[in-house]
Amino acid sequence: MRGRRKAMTGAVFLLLLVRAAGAAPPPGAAEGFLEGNRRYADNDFEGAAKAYEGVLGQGVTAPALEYNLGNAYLKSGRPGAAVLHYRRALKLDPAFESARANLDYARASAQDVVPERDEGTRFDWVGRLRLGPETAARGVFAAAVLFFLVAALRLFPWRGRRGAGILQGVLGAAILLLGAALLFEWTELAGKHEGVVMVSEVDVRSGPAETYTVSFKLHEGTEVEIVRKRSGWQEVKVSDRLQGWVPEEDVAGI
Amino acid sequence: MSRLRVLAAVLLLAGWTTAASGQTVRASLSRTAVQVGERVVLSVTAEGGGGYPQFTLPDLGDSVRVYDAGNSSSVTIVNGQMSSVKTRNIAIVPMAAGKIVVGAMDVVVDGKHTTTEPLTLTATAGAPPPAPPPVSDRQAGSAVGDDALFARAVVDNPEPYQYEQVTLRVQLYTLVRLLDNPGYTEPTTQGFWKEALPAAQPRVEVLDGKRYTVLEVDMALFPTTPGKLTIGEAVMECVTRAQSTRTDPFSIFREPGRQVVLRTKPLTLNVKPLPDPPPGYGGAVGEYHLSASVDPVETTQGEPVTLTVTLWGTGSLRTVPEITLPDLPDFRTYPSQPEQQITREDPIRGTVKRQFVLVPLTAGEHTIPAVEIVAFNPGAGAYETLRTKPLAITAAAGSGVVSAARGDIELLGRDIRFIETDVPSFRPVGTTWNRARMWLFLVPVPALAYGGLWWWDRRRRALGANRSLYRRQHAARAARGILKAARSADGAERALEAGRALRVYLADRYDLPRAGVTPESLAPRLAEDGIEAEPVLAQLDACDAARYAPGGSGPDRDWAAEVEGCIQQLETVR
Repeated sequence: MRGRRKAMTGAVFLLLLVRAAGAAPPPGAAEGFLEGNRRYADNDFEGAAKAYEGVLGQGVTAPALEYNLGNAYLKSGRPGAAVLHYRRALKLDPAFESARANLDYARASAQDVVPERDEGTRFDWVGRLRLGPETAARGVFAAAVLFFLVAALRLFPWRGRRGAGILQGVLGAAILLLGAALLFEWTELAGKHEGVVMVSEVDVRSGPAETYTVSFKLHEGTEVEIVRKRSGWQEVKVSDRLQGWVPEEDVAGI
Repeated sequence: MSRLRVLAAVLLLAGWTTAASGQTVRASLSRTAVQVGERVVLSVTAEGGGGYPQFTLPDLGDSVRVYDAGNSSSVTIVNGQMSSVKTRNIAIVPMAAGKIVVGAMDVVVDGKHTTTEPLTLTATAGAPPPAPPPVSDRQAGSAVGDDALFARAVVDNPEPYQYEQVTLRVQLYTLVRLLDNPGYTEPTTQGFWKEALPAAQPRVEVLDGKRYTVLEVDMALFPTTPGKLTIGEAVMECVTRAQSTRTDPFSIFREPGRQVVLRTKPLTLNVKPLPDPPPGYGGAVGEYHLSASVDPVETTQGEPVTLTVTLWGTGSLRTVPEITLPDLPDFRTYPSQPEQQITREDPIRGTVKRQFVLVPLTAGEHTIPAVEIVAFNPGAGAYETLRTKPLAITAAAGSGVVSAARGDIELLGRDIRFIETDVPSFRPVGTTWNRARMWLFLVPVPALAYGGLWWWDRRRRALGANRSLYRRQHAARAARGILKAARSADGAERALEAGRALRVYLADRYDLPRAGVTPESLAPRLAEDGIEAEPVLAQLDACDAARYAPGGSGPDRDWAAEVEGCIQQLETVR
């Protein structure tokens, strides 16, 4: 009797945790999204961008929201903001095919050509296979539950049956694969800080002040790696040979 | 970097000969008067056999550079007499005007000492150091380095049109021997499309009377925006023979190579915008030609012919728009994907070929009108319309059924994909990793659950294997089951059941047969556990007495509670 009660308590605790992961969005988010869609369909792209930004302002996001916002900005003639939001959509859902296609379109209109950049070409297939951190972690949890469930069954009537052993081996392999996918997500996302140039042209200087030499210029929509920040400036890297400091407000972090 | 200017030189073969035991040692300068920056060779020669002459170069002052110029030897046979000549050469470059005296030197050949006479070299001030190769009117460039080794970057057209090819040549001029292939880092070319060109063969160029070996790397650049565009510095890393010290010219043989890093100066191009385009202009920049052919020229209604349109010429094919046909109402048209071939020579040239399968819908004479492409010719500075000749084909009457030929799907325009219309599942901003971490934290839960289950199963199995242990572990549980039934019984039956519960408990606890629980068997075991036997046995007796004398001990007596209390007390001592 007492054991059953404990099991019930544990199950309720688990359910509450899982429920906490999918907290309800604030009221008005869905309406704001649909309002943006309506304005976009009416070719009011700036109005659409405003509506989508309103949803983001409520503290929520979604791959589709970032993608639609990227579309609205691209149609409004702001390729920098478009690239930024397509990249954010892909960060949330690396397998988002339409976001990848539109990002390529936006990149093609960017003035700066960065030949060393390999993202979007060499790693295209990797991008399609990526799960994103949350899905990978969910997969690890689900595979672990099944793994130990089969292990528990083997304690009783299934004990000694070969099929259960094979199934357990498959689930163990799935845990390892999903764990590796999660590790990859970590190295791709957590260890790297990237940004997009948001102004039409910015001077990249050799140091974090206006007094330093202008090394080169970057233009709107160019994606950079953010190396570090210091008193209103951030050091950006375009390639191994192109690195310098720009005002912090001119490059938005992805 | 200052340039060294070269003036006239007077060859000096001043010297002397010193005979010593059949050997002649001689020191000489190739010239006695040079201009600042000019090179003169000091030769110390030993004739008559033996090894190379060994000597120490006297101090020539700070305004002189000294390089090793190698050794040489020759053998001559005259009238059957063989003689050999061995020479050590030292290159001397005066860096300031004035007289330079090469003092007397103690020359050693095969252990024999000979002293040479002093030599005098006069250096006069002159023009700056040798200039880099002349730059033609169409070239712009800059050189960095000294007269013996310098690099420069030049372009063939400093004022190109947008998308017009500019050839960048990075050249390394050297008078000295390089010990390894130079390392090359190409310049930054922001704002350009670039195409690598084949490596140029090393060549020899004579500049100001000096024979330079020239290495060159070429690159074709296409400016993508009008205005000022800058080509960054190119870097060349060379390894030459290390410079010798003035006091010990032979130290060069012991020193490693000297690394020299040369950087060209950035070049700024003034890119001219394209003039206002005429109607139909699609972006092509270059000098192109256009042709078309059809095969076969005679066909049958419904049978396809192939029209091939070819554009070729110089320029970047990236600017060339897709070749399309005018409306052909008498044909069903199936275009193929264009084929492109680029020849990476200077200038870059290429060919775009596109084929169209045309199916005549009606019989008769048909004319395929001219295909037109408007291109900007940077050489002429004007737009020109490229036009093919109209082509005629004859289609004989057929079955009237036009078969649908297969072909690639034609891409007519390009735009971004449409927005997502379904309301997505929103999540708090920046929580992706938080949610991932939460799922990871949950992973140990099934593992712990399994661990608990495994422990329980193991314990269950252990108890099953040890019957007496199992009875002892479950004694209280079995007794309480009987007491539960006792509580619902009446009168004597209740006492009977309570007594049975206590008897079962004691039998299981001490692994006795349930029917064999007697005061004699219990007393020593209870004592062994440190339990006073009397109250327990009294409780058993009381239950038995109530069984045979109902009501004797009071009708309201709670036998179940008494036994429960007794069991609880016994349970405290295990």
